[in-house]
Amino acid sequence: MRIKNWAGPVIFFALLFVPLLSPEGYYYRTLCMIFLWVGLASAWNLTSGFTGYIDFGAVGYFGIGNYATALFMTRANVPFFLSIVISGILSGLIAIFIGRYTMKLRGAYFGIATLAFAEAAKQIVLEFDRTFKVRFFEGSHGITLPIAHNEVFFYYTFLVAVSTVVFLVFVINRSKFGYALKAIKEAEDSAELAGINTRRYKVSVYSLTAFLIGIFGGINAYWSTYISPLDVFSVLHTINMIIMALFGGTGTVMGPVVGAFVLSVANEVIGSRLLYTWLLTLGVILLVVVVFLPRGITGSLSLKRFKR
Amino acid sequence: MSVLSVQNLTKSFGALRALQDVTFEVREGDVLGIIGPNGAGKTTLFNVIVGIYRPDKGDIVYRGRSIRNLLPHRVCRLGITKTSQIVHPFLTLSVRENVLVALMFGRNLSRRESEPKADEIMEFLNIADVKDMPSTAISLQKRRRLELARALGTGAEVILMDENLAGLNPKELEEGMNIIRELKKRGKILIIVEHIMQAIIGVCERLVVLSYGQKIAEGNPLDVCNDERVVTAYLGEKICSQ
Amino acid sequence: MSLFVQALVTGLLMGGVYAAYSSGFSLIFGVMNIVNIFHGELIMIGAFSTYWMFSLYNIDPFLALPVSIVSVGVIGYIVQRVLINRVVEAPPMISYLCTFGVHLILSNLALLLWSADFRTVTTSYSGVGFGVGPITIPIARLVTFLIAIATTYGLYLFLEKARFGKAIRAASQDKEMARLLGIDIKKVYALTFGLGAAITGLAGGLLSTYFVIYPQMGLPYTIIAFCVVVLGGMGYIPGALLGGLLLGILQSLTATYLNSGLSVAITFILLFIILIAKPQGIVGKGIVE
Repeated sequence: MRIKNWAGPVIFFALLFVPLLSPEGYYYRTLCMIFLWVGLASAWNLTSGFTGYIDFGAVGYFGIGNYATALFMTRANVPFFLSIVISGILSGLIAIFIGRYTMKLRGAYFGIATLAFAEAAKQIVLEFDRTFKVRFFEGSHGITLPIAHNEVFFYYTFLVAVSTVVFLVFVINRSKFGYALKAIKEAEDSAELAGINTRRYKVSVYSLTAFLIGIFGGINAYWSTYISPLDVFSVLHTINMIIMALFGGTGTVMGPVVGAFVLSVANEVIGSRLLYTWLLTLGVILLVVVVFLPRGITGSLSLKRFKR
Repeated sequence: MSVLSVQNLTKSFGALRALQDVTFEVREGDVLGIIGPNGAGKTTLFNVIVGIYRPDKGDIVYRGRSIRNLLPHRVCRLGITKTSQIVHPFLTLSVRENVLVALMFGRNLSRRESEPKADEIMEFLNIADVKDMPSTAISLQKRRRLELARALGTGAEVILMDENLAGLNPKELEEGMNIIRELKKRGKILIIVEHIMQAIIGVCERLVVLSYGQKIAEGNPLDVCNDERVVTAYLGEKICSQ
Repeated sequence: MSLFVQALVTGLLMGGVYAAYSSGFSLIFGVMNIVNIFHGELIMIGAFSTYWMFSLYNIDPFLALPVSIVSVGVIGYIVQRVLINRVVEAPPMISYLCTFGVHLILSNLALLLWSADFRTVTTSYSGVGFGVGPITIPIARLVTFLIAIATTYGLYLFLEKARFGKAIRAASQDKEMARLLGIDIKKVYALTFGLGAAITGLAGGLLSTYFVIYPQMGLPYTIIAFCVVVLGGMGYIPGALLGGLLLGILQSLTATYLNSGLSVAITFILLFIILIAKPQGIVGKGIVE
């Protein structure tokens, strides 16, 4: 237990000094990518892992974050850091609305409803301009952002962002708020009877997740310099978040971190060359985890045998 | 003094009339028993009272305030909670954490404030020895006690016990009944649904009998048992051996 | 005005097919409480079956329908037996994740085997329609519509009258009771899934006669199926017909007056409204969690 508590800060400090080694650009990009996925998977886990409401539409907020930042920076010349904050808040607000209604649904209904939300968001951004004869989202042409600072800038931005998210998850995990979420996951009716306002907690955490994902989306936009709807609203991103978190273990703080690290590196190595094969493998991994390893890697390692 | 008043409660699920015009009162110091054949609507009655379902017609008045439209967590904060028929503890939390959750949210306490009270409750209900075990790993009797511990943790004054004593052996049953008597002494108001007649008669001074969603009898156990309508409802069997 | 009526007719014809494949979805949900995310892939495989029959052996797609039915039905049965049966008793989320895994596997397998190219089935009658006043009714769509409606109605009759159909309904209403009556639940589940899949495969084959097909076409159809059954009521087959027709008309109107690319967006908005306002579906006979 103690070791786990120290691992985080140690790793953080170690990572702070990496730029002093002047690595090649490729390493910066890979590390940033890892940070991005760790952040997304952890944020996703905050709602889906803790409450059991498995969100299949998380990429919707990622896309909203990307586009909000892109539009604010290119059209209104809003500085980067302010843009990503606005992106996060916008995502969070939309999530409050969406969550308020979709979270009335249990289990699989919620999954499909959120999936439909993300697909709808993608379609709207893709087709809005053509439908209403305006130039706003630029549809499939995509948006190009101002050329960015050097890689070190993004390295530290991502590092700070992901550290904040992981720390946040750590804090919530031990807090009263966290207890409420876990109670909702195990037996929502009982939680309600014990005095927990389940709707308020569910929507709050869903909105928080959206806020965090939105911020990462904003950073991603500036980092990628060019975004298009099919990229940033792709259901593949949600798939990655889900499998990374499940694989690593949804019940723990470090679970999604481990899962995201392993799978994003594997994706980089294998997936960039053999995309379809990689996706197929992901499907298999998902099945194996769900049927045989419901607690993921970290959960199974902590030796708590889970019997249903 | 009427603490809880159930008035003309009616609830249907599609074509199924689960409750029809059910009316009764619960007073200070009461231990009220609700009995009736399977499917009579007893669990539905409890679910409507705590707010899991909203009644189609009728009202529920708790200490002068109508609670028919409130959600369960509000009803719990006001002072009414229930145990569950199928024991549904928070499966991967420990026994102690289960009780802590009830204290933290039912009474709005911090974790630090809840810990000593949780210990107290677990001592009282004799489950302190298993406090760090996952709630799936303990015996049936202890799981039932855990349900009760959660109800006590919320601080609710009125506790609806839904077949909390089912499946216990005679010794465990006797211990369960003693706990009920102890709770009454501590000022809790209890409404109990049970099938085990011996238990019901042992602790309840008043019974309400439901059949097919309607109240068909009310009174002290002896009178109720001998009431013709009740005997008929249970298909002619003498339900209480005296 | 005639534009409107044309859109209406086209939508209606399309809606029939929606109804057909959505009733398979509804059946699976109604009986086993499983939301099948790879439903779209079953449609895709059904569509590809007729495509390959047509392009390799020159068999008319309508005549090749039995191939679709059998191939998809068998796949459905196998997946059910091997995988779904393990998780059917588990919380819905587990089965949902499982079907999602199968979705990933099937769609990417198709991509690997057949590449992402768009394909069409172009027969001698592909563009041909006949006129009724100012409106054109394409033959392929009309025949498709009739077959789809007949199938949906047939499914409904089967569930109501046939002995096995009644067993399925019994299993969906009360598992314990059905078991006590001697009904082998696992077998019922497997056959139900196979039946649902077979119908879906048929619908996929029908779709191939006038829509483009490609390995990733599945997901939007799954979302449509979900919306159709939520509209009509989960587990209620006649509702799937109603929902299918309504959604077909809505999408057709969207394509005519707005932009066909917004189909999922419109569907989602409608879904959202129904979920908020009347979760048991328009007719109110659906199963709600």
